[in-house]
Amino acid sequence: MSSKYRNDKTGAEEELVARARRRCMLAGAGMLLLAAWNPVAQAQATASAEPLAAPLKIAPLAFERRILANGLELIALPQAGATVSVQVWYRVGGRDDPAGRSGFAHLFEHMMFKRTRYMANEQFDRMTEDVGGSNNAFTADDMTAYHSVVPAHHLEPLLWAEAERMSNLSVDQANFDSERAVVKEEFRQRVLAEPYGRLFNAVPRLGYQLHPYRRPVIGSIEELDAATVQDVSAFHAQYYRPDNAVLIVTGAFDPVQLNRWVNHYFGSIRQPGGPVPRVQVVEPRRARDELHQLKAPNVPLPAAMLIWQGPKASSADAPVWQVAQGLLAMGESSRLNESLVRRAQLAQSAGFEAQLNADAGLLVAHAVAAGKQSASDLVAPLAKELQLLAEEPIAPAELEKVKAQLLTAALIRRQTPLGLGEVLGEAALLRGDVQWVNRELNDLQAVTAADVQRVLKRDVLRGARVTVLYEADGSAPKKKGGKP
Amino acid sequence: MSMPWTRCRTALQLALVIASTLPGLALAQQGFDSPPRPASAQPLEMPAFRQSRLPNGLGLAVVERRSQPLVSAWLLLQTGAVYDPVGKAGLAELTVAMLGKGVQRTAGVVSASELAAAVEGLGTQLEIGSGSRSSQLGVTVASNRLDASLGLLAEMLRSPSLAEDEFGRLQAQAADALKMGRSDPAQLGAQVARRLYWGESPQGRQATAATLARIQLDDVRAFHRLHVRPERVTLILAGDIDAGQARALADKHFGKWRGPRQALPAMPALAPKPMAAKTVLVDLPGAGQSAVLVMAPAAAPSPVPLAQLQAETQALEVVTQQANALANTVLGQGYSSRINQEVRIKRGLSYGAASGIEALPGGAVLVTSAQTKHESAGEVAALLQQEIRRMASERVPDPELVARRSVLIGEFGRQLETTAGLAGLAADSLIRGRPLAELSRVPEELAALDAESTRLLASRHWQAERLRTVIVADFKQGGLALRQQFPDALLLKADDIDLASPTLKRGGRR
Repeated sequence: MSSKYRNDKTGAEEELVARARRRCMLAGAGMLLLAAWNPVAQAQATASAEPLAAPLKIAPLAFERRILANGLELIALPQAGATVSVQVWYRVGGRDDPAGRSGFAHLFEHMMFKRTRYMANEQFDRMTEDVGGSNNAFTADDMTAYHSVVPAHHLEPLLWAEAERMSNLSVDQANFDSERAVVKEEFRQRVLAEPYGRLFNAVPRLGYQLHPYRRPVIGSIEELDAATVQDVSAFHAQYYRPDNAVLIVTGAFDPVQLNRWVNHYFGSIRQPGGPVPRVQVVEPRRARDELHQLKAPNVPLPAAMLIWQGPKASSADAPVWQVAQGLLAMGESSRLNESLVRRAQLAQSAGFEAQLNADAGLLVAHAVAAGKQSASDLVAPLAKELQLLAEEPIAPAELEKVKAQLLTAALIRRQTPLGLGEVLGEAALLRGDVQWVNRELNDLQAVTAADVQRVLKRDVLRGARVTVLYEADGSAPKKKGGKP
Repeated sequence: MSMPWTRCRTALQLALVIASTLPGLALAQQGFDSPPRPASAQPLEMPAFRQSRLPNGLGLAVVERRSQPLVSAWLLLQTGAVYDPVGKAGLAELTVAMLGKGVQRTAGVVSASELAAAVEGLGTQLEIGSGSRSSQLGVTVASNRLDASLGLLAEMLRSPSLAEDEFGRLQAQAADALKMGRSDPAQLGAQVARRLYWGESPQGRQATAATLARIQLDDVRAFHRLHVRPERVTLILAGDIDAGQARALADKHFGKWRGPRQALPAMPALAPKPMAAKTVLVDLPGAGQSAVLVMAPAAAPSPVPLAQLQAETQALEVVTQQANALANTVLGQGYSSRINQEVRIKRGLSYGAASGIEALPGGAVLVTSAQTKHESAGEVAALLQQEIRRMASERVPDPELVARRSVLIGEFGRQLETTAGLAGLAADSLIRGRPLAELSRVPEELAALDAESTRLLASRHWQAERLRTVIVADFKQGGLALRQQFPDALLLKADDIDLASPTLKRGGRR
């Protein structure tokens, strides 16, 4: 038995993506967790690979949705149990970091657990953790989400607290300085201390050309140092307003009572005049391939990464990429693991993620070398697997396998109020339509081999590629006098 | 049977405590200047955990939860790293991993690839791993695929192929994984700390490149034969299934399994044999941050199995282990724990500080840890030490005690919400040797713990002279200050560490 080391709060840096990354890089001989990403519900499960198994009956998520007069969107889904989850998802993320302030949206997220007009520092923790609940938050490129779970009878105080920090945040220099120091330690821990932290932190900068997505959500030490208390107040006024938020309540509650409380605590929050500022930059099509060599201290084994441009999260091709990702990288029998790790024994681990954001996306394939392989040895075999997927027949059973895996992963997430709320929030903010939760598994079941090959040919075979070679500082160059 | 339990008392007391500390309480109540009171608590619905045995000795644990058509099916094996022969650390882990790397059928060998494809074709993934004294393999799967999943799990236990080529691959992967761990200050620190506290006891022996290379496939085959047997396995089924269905499936897939005639392996003595050094400083050039760990002994679980103790001793044992858990929660679990308050919230020195207790029959250790920039490593170590000592010198004030108990109870309650959480609770109880029916008592038992229970425990174990500290840092940044702060420390270079050596140094004789 191992002791439990846990970092609470701070969910932070692109949690949706980061979870998947961490898993892929570390998946060696140890435990594998299910499903990198976020499949969601469907009205009915169809095709089951096993003829003998009775088909599953999956009820649609019967949520209620309404918009308050001040623009706040409420999504409520009751589920029997002892706890309730309250989540507030704001339409603001790393893409909205002010110029010269990369990492700001995330740093701001930390400040939301500090003082408000009527709450003391960390009183939010007193009202959640101390009563047997939990709280956390994360900042991604397109969104910042605050999510708590409490015993059901604590719902009303928690709604009060969320409304309070939406409308009455107070900021002071001492709190700001200490939270900034925490975020800098977070940067050091995730980017500098983790063996492949620098590599994954480089993905946005190398993958995007123009869009603000090219700044990592965690930011940089210099730009975190440049932020001020005034920036915090301005950011709150600009983005933390009812018409820029989705309130999601899932779990054990009485819908009539909930509506009354939401009207009371949130209905009175003033809607500011003027629209919420939005990033208007359109990411251009990449024109040509690039090669980057990154060196870092303390790299145990070299790694290679290939990046292509992908569609937006709301694209009709998003489910196709979800299936393609499953074929390539979900589980031990996935193609990258089977070919690079197992058969060729070139890689210690290999992965693929379709990192689809609201405005643009990236497709990222990566491998960590096994034994004595160099980073450049990994490039051709990695690219070859994507080409095979694009051009060679895909067995029906393999496709069915991935669909079954995505279905199980969706059911697992739906077990808890926290998971249900996350599914609804991702649909509403990332896919742009909460109704999507009741379509997505049908969409996934409908994906065909031809669909998979169409998007791979379009986005990967015909797309420009960024290649990243990652090696230890001072590792011997391949050829004397060769290019740096 | 379901045992309702109400959280009302705990929760309401706490709410009053909070309200009295609020700014603005004196103001009129008509606005939004103070939070509304919570409603009255609902009783916690405890599901029934049912426990039985098949005639061949295989244990069966079943807990029903119907919220989704899912079942977690775990096989809990009573074996793990503490049974590794001396010099062959890693054998249990490799053996358990090999169970997932192919099976033998009368028609021929099913390769690791084919097996993975079969498991994943059911829409799931094999979770497999081993710890100190238990190991497990299992899946969480849609309930209409449970029967087929159990068929595959049963083959993995009973007739793994244990093939030469698969073993070679696994050994190479394990060697690479060791290399990866060596470059991460947190992982390296945890390995050194484990050796420092447990020393040359089974828990202190860890796999190294040398011990892995020494393990032969025949060792794996022998370990499998001796350890993987029905009397040492419990099938845990949690989720969309009832006791009758569970029993029928267990009989179908495991009923005909016969164990070997060999005597059951005895658990070795597990008492720690700490090294002499109190502090170890490790130089990891290029490390992005320092890892700081401070350890102290904790109340060891009885080496005699719980079931064999007298009723009174049994009750005392349960309370002691729960007091351990509560003290750990006060100190280092959750965002508002003491060490996170001191290290992160008050001083911004780390992304987070946390603690855990590693408990084995005959020995237990508290481990507190945090990562920080190199210049702050000494300060963080001093804070962790100070907070451990303070637990021994001062009683935990009531409001804090109530809050931290709620953290423990709340976490327990949330585990009841998922099939994997339920299976995990059952597994924990089985490992501790506590009857599953007693799980329903846990919330009440936790709620009854008082400040005296944690103070007693802390004052017995957590004095300054019993603490041990490990810091992994880049000595180029702040190494000098660390050496001044800890003049008696054992100094090591990361590259020279040999976890199997009694001195932790390569070339040190065993």
